[in-house]
Amino acid sequence: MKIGVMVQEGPYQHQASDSAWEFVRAAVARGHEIVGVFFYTDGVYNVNRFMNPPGERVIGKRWSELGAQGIPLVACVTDSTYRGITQEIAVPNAKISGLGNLAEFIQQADRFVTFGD
Amino acid sequence: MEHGEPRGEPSGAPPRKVLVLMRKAPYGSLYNWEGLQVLLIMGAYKMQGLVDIAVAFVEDGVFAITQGQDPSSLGMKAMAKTYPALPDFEVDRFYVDGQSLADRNLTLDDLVIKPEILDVAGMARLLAEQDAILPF
Repeated sequence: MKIGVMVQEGPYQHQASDSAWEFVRAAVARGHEIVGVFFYTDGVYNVNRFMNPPGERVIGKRWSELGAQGIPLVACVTDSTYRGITQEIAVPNAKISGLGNLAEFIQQADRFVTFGD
Repeated sequence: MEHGEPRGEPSGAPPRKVLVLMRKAPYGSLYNWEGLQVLLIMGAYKMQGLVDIAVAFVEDGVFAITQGQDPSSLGMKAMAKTYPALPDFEVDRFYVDGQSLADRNLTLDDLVIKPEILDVAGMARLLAEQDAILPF
């Protein structure tokens, strides 16, 4: 099955980001295709490459690793601009781009799943 | 891709049915505002015949469309003003959960738009027929 994902909350404060990551990983393991993960609103903080929690899971790095497997990771450009997230700040394999990507993912997906508050 | 520009040729496939589900009151969080941005983008894709877009207001989401909002002292834009203009952007299917209105002592006369009122069964049917539901 082709699955699209949206993440609406940032790392650490909310469970949404962790749930989304676990979901994507499990779906891929089960043989599903993730057409893309769209980071919206505070979700754009998930692609911050400067996350550095001592002794803890590094949420940005984990997403980047999924991106390295070919899963498109897109953070909304408008929300990124609001929050000071630029392409230079983004983890490898994450792209800062437009809301149109969300529409594209919805179109490509058999199912679309949102993780938020 | 550039922000907000639909791309690609119409595939001939039926448009994806997309519902934006407004669940939260405005101003306390940005959810409502961001849902509005999604509606505007989806309107552009509807013009291309790629999606069919509707919006439903449930629970505290009904406060998004109440009249008389003035958030100027918060330094925020009055979001409710945008909803009556949505049909100009191809978004013209509005639904509201009747029980959510009643629970908050609201009627259609209190709203900036006139959505179709659905009961629980009607809302369940609306949700069931969507290809994608985007909660805000």
